[in-house]
Amino acid sequence: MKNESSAIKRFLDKKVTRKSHNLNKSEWLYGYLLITPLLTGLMIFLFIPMIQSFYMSLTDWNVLNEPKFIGLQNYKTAFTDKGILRELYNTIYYTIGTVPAGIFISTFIAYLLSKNLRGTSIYKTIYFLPIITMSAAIAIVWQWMFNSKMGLVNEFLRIFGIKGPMWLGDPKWIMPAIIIVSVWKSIGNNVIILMAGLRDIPTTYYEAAEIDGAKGWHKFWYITIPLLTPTLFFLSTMGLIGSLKVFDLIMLFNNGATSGPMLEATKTIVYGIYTNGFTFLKMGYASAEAVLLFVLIMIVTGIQFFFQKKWVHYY
Amino acid sequence: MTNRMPLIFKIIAYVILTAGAVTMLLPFVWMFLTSFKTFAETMQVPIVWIPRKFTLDNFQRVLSRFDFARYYMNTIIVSVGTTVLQLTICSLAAFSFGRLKYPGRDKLFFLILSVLMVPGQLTLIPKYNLMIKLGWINTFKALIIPGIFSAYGTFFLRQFYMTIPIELDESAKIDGCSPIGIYLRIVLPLTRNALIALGIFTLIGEWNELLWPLIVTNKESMRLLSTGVALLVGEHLTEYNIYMAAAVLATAPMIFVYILAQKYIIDGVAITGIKA
Repeated sequence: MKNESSAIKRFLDKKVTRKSHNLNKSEWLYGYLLITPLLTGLMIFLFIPMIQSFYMSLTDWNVLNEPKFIGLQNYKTAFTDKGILRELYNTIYYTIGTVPAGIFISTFIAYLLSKNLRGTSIYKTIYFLPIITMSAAIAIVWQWMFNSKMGLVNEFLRIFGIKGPMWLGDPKWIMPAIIIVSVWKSIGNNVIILMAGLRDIPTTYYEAAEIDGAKGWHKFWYITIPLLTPTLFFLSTMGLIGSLKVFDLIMLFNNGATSGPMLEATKTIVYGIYTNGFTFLKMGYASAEAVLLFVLIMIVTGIQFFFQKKWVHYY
Repeated sequence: MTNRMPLIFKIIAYVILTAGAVTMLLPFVWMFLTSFKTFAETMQVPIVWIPRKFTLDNFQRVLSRFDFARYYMNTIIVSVGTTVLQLTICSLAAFSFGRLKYPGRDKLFFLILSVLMVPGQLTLIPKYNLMIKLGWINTFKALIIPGIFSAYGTFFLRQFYMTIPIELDESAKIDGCSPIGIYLRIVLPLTRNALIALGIFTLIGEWNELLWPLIVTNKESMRLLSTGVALLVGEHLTEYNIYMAAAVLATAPMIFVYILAQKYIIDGVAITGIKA
């Protein structure tokens, strides 16, 4: 590959000096040459699989047999399948629990950090730490923290005289526990992006407001927040998409279980795709579920973009 | 607007930020301290914070009962391999899309943009099927190759490559510099930080990746740190001191990378946040 391209280069370099017409040709050739590896790879590992996955969703296939075409049967089953409805409910529950809380807390912290206090960079470093940590390790630590008897979370609640629940042993509390971990994990990333958004707000807006006699809270509410809406829009869109695809923490908090009341209370769509496809080998059905997830993400993103006119201010 | 902040506000801000920082750090401190405790100490009520004696037993047991050396090796091969190949492929493509002119360029780039939003889960099953057909299950090829063609990485780098004045390319061209020369001598040096940032993101992402390795490997000898730690939990009962030692071993290298390269990471996140 390397020899080949340097040979072409030498060949082309000779021509380049001769005519500007050939210069363009050489640029074309390089242009196509340099995108070929990427396009080939994306074709094999993304575009073709995408199309295949739509086709597979119309088949009955358990890996060992050849796929058998069954039309829309998988979709019909999915819409009446209590399991999938449960997964959808859990996924939405997780998303609603994670995204707004994560953005709310992050905005508050980013605002404080943007005040040029001493030690801002140390705080940033600490807040970002969970993002770079593997979820397998995060899940292990937090499972221990949520231990009802010896965990730090209930120990902390005890200070206030609250008897903490059996977080991971109670179907009502396991999802809130996972949501707390997700919010904890998401803050660092949000804070960094929000701080960049805050930094970009022109100071002239604040100066003008001060001349008009605006106080701190007013400035925050009428200048900072509206001018931060493009960043908030970006974060909420990315957050929604990410939450609808949640897998790692769900799988880890269930220790890879395939049934049981805790799984029932936390199983999300992607975990359903994983178990249907790779545990029960219902590949066709799992593909249909993946297509439905794709449609769900497109709808949610579409709604986000539709409503952005109502609340996002570009300046 | 920043210097006239009343003292009381400053104090409140510090209290809140510090409380937040403690919440962020506590699980890490807890993980670290527990990894040196004995089993009895982890089970004591009230909680034992600092182990009486820092024992390395837990680490020894992890290393002797699980082939962690192998997990390390595998993880390094996969994450470094993916990162190097992805940076090469994506930066060449990004250079082509951002700096060269040829027919159909923008249409092809739009094609790549259009799949940015496609969730990887949609292609999971066909990709797994492809791995079976190619005989790549339980190989490094399956762990590395599907991950090196990144639409996002290309988009990310192209954004940076577009910021360099095109006049630089033109004057280099007049001096007889080929596109490869422009790429190596002008574009790469000027956008070094972007490449480093993308490299670190990819490295960390691959190091921590769970779903794909879980699907395409099932042999103990092909386990990565992420799958190793995840499956450890199923194999042990409740020896949290052992788990924590494993978690420390699995996360320490990336925490180290993070501390060394945090400037690139944090700047990279801030910039993509605005541009994406």
